[in-house]
Amino acid sequence: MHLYGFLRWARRIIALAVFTGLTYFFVAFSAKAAGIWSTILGLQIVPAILGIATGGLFTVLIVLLLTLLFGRIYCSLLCPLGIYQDIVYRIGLFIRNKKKRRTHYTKARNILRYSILIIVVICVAFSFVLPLVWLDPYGLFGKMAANIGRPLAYFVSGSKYDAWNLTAFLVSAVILAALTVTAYLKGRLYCNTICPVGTLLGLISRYSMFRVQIDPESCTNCRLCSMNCKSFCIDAEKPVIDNSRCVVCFNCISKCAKGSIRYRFAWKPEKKIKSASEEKQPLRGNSRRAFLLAAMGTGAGIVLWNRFTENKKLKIPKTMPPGAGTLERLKDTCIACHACIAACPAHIIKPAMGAFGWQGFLLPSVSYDHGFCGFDCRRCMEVCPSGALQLMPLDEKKRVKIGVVKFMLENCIVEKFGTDCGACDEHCPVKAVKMTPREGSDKLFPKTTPALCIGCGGCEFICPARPKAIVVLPLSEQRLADAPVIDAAIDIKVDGFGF
Amino acid sequence: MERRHFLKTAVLGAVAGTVGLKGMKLFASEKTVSGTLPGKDDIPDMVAIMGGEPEQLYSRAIQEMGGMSRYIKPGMKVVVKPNIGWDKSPEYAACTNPQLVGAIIRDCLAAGASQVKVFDHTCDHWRGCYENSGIQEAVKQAGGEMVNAHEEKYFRETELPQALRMKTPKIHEALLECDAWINVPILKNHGGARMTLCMKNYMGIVWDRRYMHSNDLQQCIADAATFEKRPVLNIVDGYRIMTQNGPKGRSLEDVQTPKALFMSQDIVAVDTAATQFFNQFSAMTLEDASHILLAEKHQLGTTKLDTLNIKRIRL
Repeated sequence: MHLYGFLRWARRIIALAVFTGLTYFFVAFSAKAAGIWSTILGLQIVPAILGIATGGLFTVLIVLLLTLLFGRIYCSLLCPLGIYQDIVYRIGLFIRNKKKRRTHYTKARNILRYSILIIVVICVAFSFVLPLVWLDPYGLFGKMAANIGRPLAYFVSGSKYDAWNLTAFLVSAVILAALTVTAYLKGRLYCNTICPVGTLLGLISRYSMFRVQIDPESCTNCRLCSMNCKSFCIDAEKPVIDNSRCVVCFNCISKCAKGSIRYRFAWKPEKKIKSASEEKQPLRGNSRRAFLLAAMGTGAGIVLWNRFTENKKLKIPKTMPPGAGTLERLKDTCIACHACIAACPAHIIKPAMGAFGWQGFLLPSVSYDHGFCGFDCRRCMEVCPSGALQLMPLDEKKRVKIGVVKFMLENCIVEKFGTDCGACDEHCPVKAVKMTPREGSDKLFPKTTPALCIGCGGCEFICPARPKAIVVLPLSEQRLADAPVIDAAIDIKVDGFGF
Repeated sequence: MERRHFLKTAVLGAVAGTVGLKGMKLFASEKTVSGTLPGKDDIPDMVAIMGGEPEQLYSRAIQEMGGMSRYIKPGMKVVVKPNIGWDKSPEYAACTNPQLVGAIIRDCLAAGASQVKVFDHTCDHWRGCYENSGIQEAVKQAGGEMVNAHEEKYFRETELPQALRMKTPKIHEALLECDAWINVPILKNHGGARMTLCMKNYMGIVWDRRYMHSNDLQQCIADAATFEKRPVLNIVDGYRIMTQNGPKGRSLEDVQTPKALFMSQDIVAVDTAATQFFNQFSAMTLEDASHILLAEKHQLGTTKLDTLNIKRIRL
């Protein structure tokens, strides 16, 4: 018993640490220690799968191995959404009376969960990541924390939050409300019915090395375990535990008065204990095959539909954050977890509304209304867990062209009023806009060299003219700008003061 | 009491201006924000010094100017306003030298200042500017306090009765609440204002820099300098200077290291001197950096350096 008590507390402490850590990152991140956060974010499996070619492989292998050894501990320890639901459920236990909070065994909704998994797998295999934007637990957590938690934190501290977006807030609020209610009433229902990660890991966890199991010899079918299972996965009549849904929380073990439930080594062939996975499946033979086919067909249909409806036009109305590469690539790898939005010190990354098409809803887009991309900054790339914003050396990032400058003389202060300005030149880090003399005037005028421009938006942000005289046009394909031409140093030896 | 002194000073200044007296002389002999200044004749109007490390330049210059205790009295709340506009390390000469800022703060505290606050309304993202300029660290080491200036809430609307274009800017609260402040820009060329010196450094105490850029930048800079609480000292950091691609600069090729420093109570004179110094590297006239001439029209000081007692020092 002591061992299980210890394990249970260890689970709670680790889970709470991960949850508070991730929440802190999304809500109060202030550009410090980006490395630590990117490590924690790097443990999330869905971004790791999407970024498997760019450093995600290690995480994927670790998570799969952990699941094969210990069951779905990922869902209990590392998944922020899972932990959130546990917290809500736990609070529910304090609120509701004993009778009302009893749970009971329910059959697995296999058709639903395997359909979702199959559809998601097919979509992702064919580079259509949109379903994960709405289903990945980490991505959902990120959206809620970044669009609800962060504005709230700024509001409380009395600061202005420049990346505020009402639509994203409302969408996140609806998700949060729905999840809170289900978690309060039905525990891990989302994880065991909808979440593709839960279903995928469940496929492995039913054969894991260590499993929570009931010893039928000593079990008295008292149902105490079943009544306290937040996954609704213990059938106390049989008695068996559905290990594909068990998230290894150890709650049942500490409830069992007879000590019949154990977390034990389950790869012993001689001591075979029945488990739900070997029980009758709700679907057999033809109907099972039919449903598999139907799910695969749906997946293929969605992929094809996307291929045909996707907007292939190259002009996009909003800039993508640096490292996105192409719009195609961004859509293929980004689950809109909004870590970049939380990390951007200048608050220029905001959830896209319609700018990237309906498939790109909530993907990160750049707006220069309240700031511009820091020349020496690459926080967004550092924290991006899926590699959608590909991390690159700073020297390379300084040349990544995310947009290109366009100057409109007729709007310029110097042209309109004949007074000095130069705000654009002042902010340009690569001197793609430079104040230059013009014939017939003693004033300096902005002169642009688009080949040098990296699209940081400093000029557009600061331009005081209305309408703006200088703007950054988005590029749907990021590339390297020309290397800046370095002006030779002035070679003069000065000995006197000059006055 | 401070406010009364202060208003008195302002009135005296206005009177001096209208009767055509040289403001500086009157200030030096009357009660000012910084208390009674003995009108010693051996205190120069300006110190120009060259050929040393930032701290050496500063300590010699302030010694010539009569020591910090002439300007900062015990118990005063002081603001030191460097240029921290850009997210660049000190060798790029985009921000005021952190060693100089540290030395000034230590000196203020030694003179009895109750607190020394430092801020700038930065152009690049403020955190990067504060950190990478080395100024945040220098301020902390010296015992000063770095304060925020990246949000409008830190600024309060203030009237500038003398101003022609910018009459009611929002000015940083630390400056409004202090008893004395020291203006410490770095010497750079500037694509818009042509030179960025003491008066251009006022842009960092104002919230809406777009207003200034779009309403005759040069006039707005001169207007800002009419802010009635004048700096007790203007110190131009010429240790490293930016001679091209200013004010942000692009590479180390834009930087020269003449190891100079200019110190004066006359903001127009010190900007004039620094411009003429800069002119040796790259052609620059007062007509180009016309805010200096406009400020002279505002009676903020004189561009006629030959009428001043300037102490030139080579270390």
